[in-house]
Amino acid sequence: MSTTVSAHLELRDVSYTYPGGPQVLDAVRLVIARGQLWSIVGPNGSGKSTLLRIMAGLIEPVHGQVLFNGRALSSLRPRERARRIAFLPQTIVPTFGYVARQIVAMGRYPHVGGLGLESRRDWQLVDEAMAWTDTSPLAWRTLNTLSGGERQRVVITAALVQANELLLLDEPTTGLDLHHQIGIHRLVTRLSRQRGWTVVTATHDLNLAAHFSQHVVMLKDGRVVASGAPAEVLTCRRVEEVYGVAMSSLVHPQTGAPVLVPAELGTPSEVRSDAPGA
Amino acid sequence: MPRARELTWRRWLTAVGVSALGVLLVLILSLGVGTQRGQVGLAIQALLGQTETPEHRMAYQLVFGLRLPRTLLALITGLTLALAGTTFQALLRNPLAEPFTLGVASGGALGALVAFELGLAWSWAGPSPVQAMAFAGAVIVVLIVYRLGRSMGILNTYDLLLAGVTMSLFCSAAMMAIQYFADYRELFGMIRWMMGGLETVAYRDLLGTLWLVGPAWFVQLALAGALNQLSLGEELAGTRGVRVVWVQTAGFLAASLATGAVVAVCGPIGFVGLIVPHAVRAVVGPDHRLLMPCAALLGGAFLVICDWGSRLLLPVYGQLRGLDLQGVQLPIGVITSVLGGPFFLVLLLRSRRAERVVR
Repeated sequence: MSTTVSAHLELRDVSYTYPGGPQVLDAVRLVIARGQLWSIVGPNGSGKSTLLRIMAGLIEPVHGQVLFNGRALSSLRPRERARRIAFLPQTIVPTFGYVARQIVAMGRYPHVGGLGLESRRDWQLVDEAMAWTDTSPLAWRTLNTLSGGERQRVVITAALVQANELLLLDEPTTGLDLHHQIGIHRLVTRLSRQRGWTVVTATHDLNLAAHFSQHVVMLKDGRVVASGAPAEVLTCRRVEEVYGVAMSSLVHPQTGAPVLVPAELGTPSEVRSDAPGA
Repeated sequence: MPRARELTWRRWLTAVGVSALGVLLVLILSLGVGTQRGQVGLAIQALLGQTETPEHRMAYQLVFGLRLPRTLLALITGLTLALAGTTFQALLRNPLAEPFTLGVASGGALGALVAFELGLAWSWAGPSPVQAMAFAGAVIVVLIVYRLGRSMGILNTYDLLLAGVTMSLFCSAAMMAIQYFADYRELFGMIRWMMGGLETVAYRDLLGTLWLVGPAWFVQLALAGALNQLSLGEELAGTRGVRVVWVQTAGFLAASLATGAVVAVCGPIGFVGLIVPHAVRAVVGPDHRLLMPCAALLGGAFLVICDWGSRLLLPVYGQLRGLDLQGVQLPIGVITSVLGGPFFLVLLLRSRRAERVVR
């Protein structure tokens, strides 16, 4: 049971129960190597968000341990943790008309502190990061004038100037159009390849997860039912078992990788007769 | 326009300095505002001890014994309400929040009304029973709302809002019951109290209030950076190194208790805590590190100016109509609302237009 040197984030038998609620996570064991792209998939309520919140240090497991770089995550002070680990929540509610550049600069908080102001160096980092994520043209737009995809890019850019090794994303592409979904995944992939970040993404899109990650964890009712390379985890049988939907596998014309689609959609006539107003 | 949005110490000092100068100017002008003219010169001569005529002593008493403490109270009150409004808007992530949203004013008013009903509307050397009861009422409501909003180790903003609104309604109902059973003299005192006012203030009251609100100002200002983070959501703030529950608790208690303290002295003065943060945000931007000190200072100045209206409007109207309205004052709560309402609508309209241009 020794920790491998390359383990960036390690969860040892992590369990979590919300006070007075059911168990959300049950003895989750994961060893995430530095620089890898991981996806966490599973049905609604399977514990994906809770798992991410534990990795982010927002909540502490009821049982088990979280090790970050071989040390207990809880031993890091909040600001020190924030300089290493960034988190992208499911939704950002725009209030008060901050412009995108201010939102990105807010990522410097753990470096600047509550009483300081951003230095010239901080603003330089902000502008570099915005150039790197192609968000510079959005710099002076208020958040509520941005589309969902643009908002996510801006907040990811803020993560970039905040932390330096680990990014946790909670369903970053939910509600985005296809173009922005791919864009976010590409950006995150680039972050991992070029900057060596470890990235863990909770997602509902099995095919994009399969394509863009090196490792997939499938959760059901708070338990890890499978963990490994995408092709091993995302099989028709397992998805059927976990989601209760019969699946078929196709071959992606470009990559040759399997693509999963629901096998039984009903015949077109059935679908049409089910439609409202029919 | 773009580069100006970077907050540098230079820009911070400029904006806060200009606001502070504005406050100073308004303070000085305020000494001369009143129905009797030419008093400031006499008062200053008396202050310097050059002459000792009865006119000089009268003027001295008027300017430094009445106008100055009253102006300072207006300043302290405006400052406290504007700052608390900004804090609440950030904590609740709701631009419609204001210092009275969570029931602080209702609790204070109920306390004051109970004091009136018990026949305690007298004053002595120290905080009057009405003030003490009003503060106690506000504190009780604050603690109840806090207790209801806090569950499972976190402060839930929706629960806070719900608890605050419910407590407000409850207090209003209790107040109506008390008013129904009050005799007309008590009733007059109650109604007058609820319009808010800065009358009959001594330096003693000022100091008592300052002891309570002063520390609360600094607590709120120190939270400015964390409030920026919180306005994007608690989860994001938490992963950026903000101790979320701690900041929420400190901000909520500081803003509420300070509000309770000024409500106890002046009654509920509406609108300041809602419009000043908005107006100042429209000028200096949403960064709380700049917004909070500016909103506080300008809120103070705003209420001092409203107080001019309170002192002058009726006497001037009386002169025009040939009525004797010397020394009759309009309650300041009426002024802030009458001034504030239209001002706020104009602001809303202008920001809409600006937004359309940006789009």
